[in-house]
Amino acid sequence: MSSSLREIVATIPAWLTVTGDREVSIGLSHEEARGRAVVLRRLLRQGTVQPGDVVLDEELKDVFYALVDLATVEETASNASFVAEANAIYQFLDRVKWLEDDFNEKRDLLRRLGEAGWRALGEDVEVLARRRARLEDGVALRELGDNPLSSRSDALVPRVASLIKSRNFSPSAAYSEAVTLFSLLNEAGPTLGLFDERDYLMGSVAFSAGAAVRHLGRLDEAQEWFAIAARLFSKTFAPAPLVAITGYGRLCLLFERDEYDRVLKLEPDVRESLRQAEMHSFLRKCEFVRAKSLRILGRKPQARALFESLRGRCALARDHSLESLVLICLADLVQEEGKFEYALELLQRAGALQDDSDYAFANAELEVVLGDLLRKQGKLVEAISAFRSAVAKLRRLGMARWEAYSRLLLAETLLACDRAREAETELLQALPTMASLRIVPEGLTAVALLQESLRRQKVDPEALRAVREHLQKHR
Amino acid sequence: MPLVRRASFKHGLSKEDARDIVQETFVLAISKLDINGNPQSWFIGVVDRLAMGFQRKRARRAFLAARWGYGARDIEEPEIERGGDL
Repeated sequence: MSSSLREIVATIPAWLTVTGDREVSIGLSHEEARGRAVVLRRLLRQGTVQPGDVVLDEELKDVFYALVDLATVEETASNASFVAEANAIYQFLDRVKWLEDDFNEKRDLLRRLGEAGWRALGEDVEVLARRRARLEDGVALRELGDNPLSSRSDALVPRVASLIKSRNFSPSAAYSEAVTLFSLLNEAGPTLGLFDERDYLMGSVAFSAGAAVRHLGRLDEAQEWFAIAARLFSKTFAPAPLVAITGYGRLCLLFERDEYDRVLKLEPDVRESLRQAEMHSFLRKCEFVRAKSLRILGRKPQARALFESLRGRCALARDHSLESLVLICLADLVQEEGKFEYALELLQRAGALQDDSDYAFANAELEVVLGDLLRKQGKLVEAISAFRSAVAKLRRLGMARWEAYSRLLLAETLLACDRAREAETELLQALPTMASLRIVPEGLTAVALLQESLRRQKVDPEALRAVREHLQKHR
Repeated sequence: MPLVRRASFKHGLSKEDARDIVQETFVLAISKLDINGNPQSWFIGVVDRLAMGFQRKRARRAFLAARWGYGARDIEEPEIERGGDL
């Protein structure tokens, strides 16, 4: 709650006492506000007033309300001139600085205008909201006569769509593209697109940036990007599904921060908001995070049941990328029970699904789990091959945390094959990454023992196993 | 003022009626507002409910006035909610 709202609430009794004896301003009457709105509308049409010209006070806010009333009443005209004017009013109001807006009046006015504008363009606003919520809406920006930015927007929109849809981007490449696009969209200015399109596009790009940088282990940055996305999405005319998506992003951050109990506590609310928004794809992802948290907290029967349920639902929805990840997690679970053949079947199925999808991380994750399985079966040479392949892929993707974990597995397997020098090489690369990302507690004795053993050029296998198990627990 | 505008523009009330609604909201806030909750949502919710109730009452009065040929001022609704005598 802002400090101004707290002050208001704290002085309620005093306010009531005061109003008994004196007139409290209630701003302009409807007639006065409408009269001034008509004048403002004429000035806007003439282009003789700019957002920077206004000094916003309570009376002017009344005028803005009346102006939006005037504009939206004519929505049924359904013609280009209405859309153009409504868009101009939208852009004007959006650029006026509203201080002390505890009740989000500006946002509500913009949403009303935006929704009316889309209806006037013949859009079914519910269908539009659902399409946008899939974040794959290649928003076709409308031409409004001479739009000097149209050529830039024509180039930008396909790039945004490509960023959101593609899983071929490595996280670092996706982040770089997202930052570039965000900057370009910002520079394009408030006249890019109609009504809330710019906010929607920038919000989508910000969400993609947050998702990408999360995979790179830079969680504070991811949090900032998700906050930017939520703020931009909240300005769109149908924000609930989009804001629910940012809720999912924040849930993932809690998972990455090893706050599994909080994940389990908050996940039902995030899931419910996604369910209400009919965001089934993100709903499954949300449950996937829950299942992984259950597993890490040692609640393996519940985790397995949820993975099995998700597996079926992903198959029905043809959600191959998530299905392959679910199968990999299931394989990892059952191999701990010694069911190696079944685990291998699950991994083969996961691999087959990945042929249809282009989810690069899943390839590497499969190889890590496969290598672990082979290692437990005593097939050390094959395990080393799988781990090396995974390390190479994860390094290309820039996923340092996963790369470090894979190197530990590889080092342990090399030690078991009496290839101590190669094991040391892997550890020399893994330990600094673990330190810089702070993925192992500083007080973990095993890390110190491991570092000391490296210094003496004789790797301590027990220390290595302890560190690897710590990371494995939090995968 | 934001709440007065909400009651006025969203619910079609005159500014004077909107002010009365908001004042009633603040009276309720003394006893019912949880300051550790979400005061913004609470205020908005109560203003909306009171404004809609005011609209319904006004519509009933207009209906009764039209039916019985009285002016609006002549219609007194039974004080059912407050437990008054009928």
